Amino acid sequence: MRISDKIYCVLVLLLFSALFTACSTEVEFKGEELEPKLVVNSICLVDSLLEVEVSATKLIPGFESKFRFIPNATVKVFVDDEETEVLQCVNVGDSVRAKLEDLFLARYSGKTVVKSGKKYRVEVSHPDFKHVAVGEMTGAMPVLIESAFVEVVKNDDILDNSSSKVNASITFTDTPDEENYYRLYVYLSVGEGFETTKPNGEEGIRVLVMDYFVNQQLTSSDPVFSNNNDPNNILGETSSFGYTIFDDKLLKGKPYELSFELYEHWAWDMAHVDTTMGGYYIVHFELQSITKDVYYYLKSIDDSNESGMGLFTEPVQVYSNIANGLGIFGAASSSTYNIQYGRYPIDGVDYSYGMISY
Amino acid sequence: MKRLTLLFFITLLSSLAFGQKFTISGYISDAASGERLVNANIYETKSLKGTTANNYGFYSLSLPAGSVVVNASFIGYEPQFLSISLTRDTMINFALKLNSDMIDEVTIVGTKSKVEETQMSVIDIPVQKLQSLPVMLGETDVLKVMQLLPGVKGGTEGTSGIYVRDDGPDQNLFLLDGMPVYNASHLLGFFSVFNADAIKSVKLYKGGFPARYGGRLSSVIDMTMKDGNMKKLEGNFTIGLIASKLSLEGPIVKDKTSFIFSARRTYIDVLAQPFILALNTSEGEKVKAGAYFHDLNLKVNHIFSDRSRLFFSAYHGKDKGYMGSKTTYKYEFEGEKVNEEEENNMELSWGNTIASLRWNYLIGKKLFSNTTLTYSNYNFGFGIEAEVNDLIKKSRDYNFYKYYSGIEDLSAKIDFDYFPLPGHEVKFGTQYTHHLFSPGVTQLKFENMTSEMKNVLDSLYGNREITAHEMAAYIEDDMVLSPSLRMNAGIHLSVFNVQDETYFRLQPRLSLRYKASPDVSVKASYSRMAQHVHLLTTSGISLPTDLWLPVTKTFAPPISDQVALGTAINLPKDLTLTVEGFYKTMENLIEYKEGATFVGSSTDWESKVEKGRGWSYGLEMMLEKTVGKTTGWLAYTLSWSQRQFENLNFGRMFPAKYDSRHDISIALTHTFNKRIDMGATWVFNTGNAVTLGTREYIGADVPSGNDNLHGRPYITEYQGRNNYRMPPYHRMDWGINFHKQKKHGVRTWNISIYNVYSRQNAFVLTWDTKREMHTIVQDGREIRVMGDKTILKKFSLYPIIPSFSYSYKF
Repeated sequence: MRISDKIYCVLVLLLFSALFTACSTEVEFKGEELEPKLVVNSICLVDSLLEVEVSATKLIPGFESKFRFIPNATVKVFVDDEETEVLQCVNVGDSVRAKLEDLFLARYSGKTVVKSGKKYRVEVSHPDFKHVAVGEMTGAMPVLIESAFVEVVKNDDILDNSSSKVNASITFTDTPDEENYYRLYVYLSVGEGFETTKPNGEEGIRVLVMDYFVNQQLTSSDPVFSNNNDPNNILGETSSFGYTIFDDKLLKGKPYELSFELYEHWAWDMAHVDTTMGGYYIVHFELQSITKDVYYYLKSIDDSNESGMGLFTEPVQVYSNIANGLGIFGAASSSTYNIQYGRYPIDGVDYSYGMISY
Repeated sequence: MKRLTLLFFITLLSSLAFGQKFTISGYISDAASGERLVNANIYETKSLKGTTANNYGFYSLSLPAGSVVVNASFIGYEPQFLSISLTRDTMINFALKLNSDMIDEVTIVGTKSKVEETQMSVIDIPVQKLQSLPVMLGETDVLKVMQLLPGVKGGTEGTSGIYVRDDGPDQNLFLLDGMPVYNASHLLGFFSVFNADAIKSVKLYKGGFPARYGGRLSSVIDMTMKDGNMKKLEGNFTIGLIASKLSLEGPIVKDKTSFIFSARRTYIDVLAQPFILALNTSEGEKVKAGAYFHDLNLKVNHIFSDRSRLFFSAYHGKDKGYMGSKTTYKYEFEGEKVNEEEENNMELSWGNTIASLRWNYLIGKKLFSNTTLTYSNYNFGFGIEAEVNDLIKKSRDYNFYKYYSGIEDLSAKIDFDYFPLPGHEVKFGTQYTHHLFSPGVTQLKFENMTSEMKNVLDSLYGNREITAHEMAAYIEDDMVLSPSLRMNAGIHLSVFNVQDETYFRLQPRLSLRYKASPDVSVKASYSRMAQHVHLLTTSGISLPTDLWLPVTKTFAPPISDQVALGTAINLPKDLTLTVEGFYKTMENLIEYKEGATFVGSSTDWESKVEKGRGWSYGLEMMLEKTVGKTTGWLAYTLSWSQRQFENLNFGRMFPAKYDSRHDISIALTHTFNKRIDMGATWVFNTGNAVTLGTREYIGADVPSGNDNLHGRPYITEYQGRNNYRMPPYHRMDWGINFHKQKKHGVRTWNISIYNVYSRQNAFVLTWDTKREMHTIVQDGREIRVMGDKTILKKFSLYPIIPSFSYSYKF
C-alpha cells in the first residue's frame, strides 16, 4: 500500500469512527423516590379456596435484591360487601426459603370458597406500607365444553414442511346477558411404546410419555379471535403466553363451535401412535371462563411479551385492578374435555413420565 | 362566525366604494439575475400606503389619480423611487440592485418588520444568509436553522425533522413550490431533503395561519425554489467530507427562459467500502454494506409576456441503506461434493419524487392568478432476500420479504391574489387532491425448486391501497382597518372523501395587529386547522418507517384550535423583541397501541392504533438583531404538550413524546470583513419524555387443570406513558467561512465543528447491569461483596464532529 493510500485510510477511519461510533455511558437515575408498593395477586378457580399472594415491588435501579417475603400482612376478605374473615399466611414457616429464592411469595388463605356471581373484596395492609391495597372481583360464571373434535389432515400450506396438520374444535355455550371472557388451553400427551427387557429378564413394553404445551402455535381464522390477534403477527396466529384468550362479542349467548388448528408437528406424533405397543395420545382441552380484569391482565401480559422490538415499540403497561397497589384479583371457572386414542393406562405397562416440550 | 363573515364583507365593500383610483402593478426583481423578489415592499411615499410582493414577486397597488412617488425596496437592495403622474392603470416592473454598501450589514432573520406584519407566529428565513451559521459536514441545512427558532425543536439526535410547539412531525406541512413533501429527512439525520442552494425563500408559520393554507395542525413551511438566473450562467459547487453538491442556473433564452439545476450525493458508502471489505470478508465470502442519499432539484421557467409565465419544478431524492453477503461453499464431506452459493441481502430505502407545473397569469392589473398541477410521491421500503443455490443438485431455495408503504398525490389548484384597493389584499382559490395511500404492505415470496419439484408462494399481506379525494377552497383578506389596526381574516373549507365517508371542515382564521406606537404592536390570532393524513410513528425513535395514513371512517380528521396573543417591540440598537403566548387543543389524534409496531400485519393498521386528544400551550420569546456586523437571536420557549387516549396509559393524561419544558437557542453571526465571517449556535432543551420501567414485581399465576401450565411472569411497572425525562439536550456548533475573490468567481473554505464540547446527548435510554463492589449487612456485620447493579445507560450518537468544505461560486 502506498503512503498516500495509508494516509487516506487512516483519515477515513478516523472520520468514521468519530461519526458513527455510538457510545453508551451511565447516567444518574433521576426518578422520584419510589416507595415499594404492595402487590396482591389472586386468580382463583370457582369452587376453590380463595388464596391471595402478597408481595412487594422492588426498584429496578441499584444492586440486585430479592423480592421481599411478606408473611405478616393483614388480609381482610369481604363477600358481598360484608367482612367475612382475615386470611392467614399459610407458608409463614418457609421464610428461610424465601430468603433463598427470588420468587417465593407469601400465600394467604382461609375458609372462603369462591362462588360464581358473588362479589369479593380483599383489603391488604402492612405497617411498612402507607396504603391499604384493595382488589375487587365477582366470581366467574361457569362454562362447559360440550363436545370436542380433532382430526389429522393433509397439509397444503407450503410455508411449513409438515405434510399433515391437526384440525380441532370445541363446542360450548356462552352465558347469555353477561359480558364473558374466555381462556383456552390445548395440550397433547403422547405415549410411544418400546419393547424393553425388565430387570428380571422378561420381555415387556415401556411407554415413553411426552406432554406438549405449544398453544402459542395454535392458529385459527375463527372470527372470535379477531380482537385478540397480536397486532404484529404477520401469519395470523392467535398468539399468547401458553393459552389463547377471547371475548364473547360474537357469541351472544349462543352455542358455538370454536375451530382452530393445532401445532402441525403434533400431527406426526398423532398419526404414528402404535396402539399395539401401548401407544396412545390424549388431546386435553381446557376452557376457562375468566373475569374481565383477568382477561385484560392476560392480554396485557401477552402484548408485553410480544412487543420485544425494543426501540420500535411503546412498552406495554400490564393491567392491574389493585387500588393503591399492583397485581390482579380475579377468578376463573374451568371445564376440561379430553379426546383419547389408544388405551391408557394399561396394567403391567411401564410408563416413563417427565418429558415435556413447549 | 356569521358576524365575522359579515364584518369581512362590509369592510371589503365599504373600501371598494371610495373615489377614483388607478392601479400600478408589476414585478419586483433582482436586477442582476432577474430573480423575482418574494415579499419585497412597495409604498407611496406621501400617504405611506403600500403592499408586499407575493411569492412570484408580483405587486398591485391602487392609488388616487395624480402625481405620486412610489418606493420599491427589499432588504439588502438599493431602494428605487419612481415619480409618476397617475392617469390610468399602469404596469411598472422594478429591478433592484444589490446594495454593495450594505453587504456587511446582513439581516439573518426577518425580511419585514415584525411590528408591521399582520400575521403572528410567522418567521421569514432568508436562505442566502444562512451560510454564515455553522454547518454540519459542510452542508447548510434549512431545517437545522429552523430548529433554533422559538417554538421549534429537533427530534432526537440523528433526525432532522422539526417539532413545532412540541407537537408531532406529521403536523408540519412542507411545501416546496407548492408541492407537499411528506418526508423531510435524509439518512442519519444530518441533512434535510431541502438543498439550500436551490431554495430562494422559506417562511415558517407556527400559528395564526392564513386561510390559504390547510391540511396540517401545527405549522406550514412554505419554501420557494429559485427561478434560475435570467441574465447569465452561474454555478456553485461544494465538496464536503461526506457529501458534495453542484448547482447550475442560467438563461436558456435570455430574459425569457431560465433554469436551475442542483444535485447532491453522499459518498459514505464509497469511502467505507474498502474497510467493510477488509474487515468482514473471509475466504469464499464477500460482504457489502453502505448507505447514501442523493437528491436532484430542477426548475425551468419561461416568460411568455408580462402577463404570463410558466414554471416547471421537480425534486427527486432517495435514501438507501444496504447490507449483503455472498458466500460460496465448496468442499467434500464423506465422499460427497458440496458446491453451494448463498446470498443474503437487506435493503432499507425511502424517497420523495415531486413535480409541479405552474402558470402565472395576470388577468387584470389587480388580479393575479396561479394555476398549479402537482405530483408528489413518498415511499418507504424494507426488504430481506436470501437465496441458496445448490450447483450440483440444481436446487434453489429463495426467500424474500418486503415491507413497503407510501403515499402518492395528484393535485390541481388555482389561486388568485386580488388587490382591489390599498389596504386590501384578497387571496382566494380552490384545490383538488387525489391521494393514493399504501399504508403498509408485506410481500412474502418463497421458492423451493429442485430438479423434480417446484414450490412457489408469492403473497401480499396487510393493507391494500386506499384512495381518497380532498378538496379545499379559501378566501382571505389582509385589511388595513385604520392606521394602527390591521386584520387578516379568512375562511378555509376542506372536504375529504374516503371509504364512502365525507368530512366537511370549515376552518375560520383571524389575525389582528394593533400598532400601539411606531415601535410596539400587539397581535392576536385564532385559527382552526384540519388534517386529513396521519403519520403513525413508533414512539421509540423517529424513523422513515413511520406510516402515512389517511383518515378513515373510524379515524376522523384531526382538528386543532389555536389562539395566540403576542407583542412585537422594536428596541434600541436594532433589536426586536417578540413575545407570544399560545394555547392549542387537538382532537382525533392517533397513536400506536402499546406494543404495536410498523411491521406488516394480516390485520388492518386501524387495529394497531388508538384515538385521543391533545393540548399544548406555552410562551415564546425571541430577541433578535437583524442589522449590523453582529446579528443573531436569542430564543426561549416555555411549553407543555399533553395527550389523553381512552385506551392508552389507562385513560390517564400523559406528556407527548416531544413535550419539552424549556427550550433555549442562541444563534450569532459576525462578519469581520468581506473575506471572513463566523457563526455559532447553542441549543438547550429539556429531555424528551420516554417510557421507562422503574419498578418490577411478580405477576399472578392462572390456575389450570394441568400443573405444568403454571407460571408467573416478571412484570415491569411503568408509572405511566412517557413517565421519565431523558437528560437535557444541549449542543454548541461553530463555523467560520473564508471567502476569496478568484478570477472566475468566489471560493469559500468553511470550517465547522458540530457539537463543540462533545456533549453526549441521549439517543435512547436503557437499563443495563454492571458488576460492582458494595456493602451489605449480614448477621449485624457490614461486609463487602461483589454484586450486579442495575444502572441506567444512555446511548449517544455524534460526538464532536469537525468538518470542512470547499465551495466555489462562479
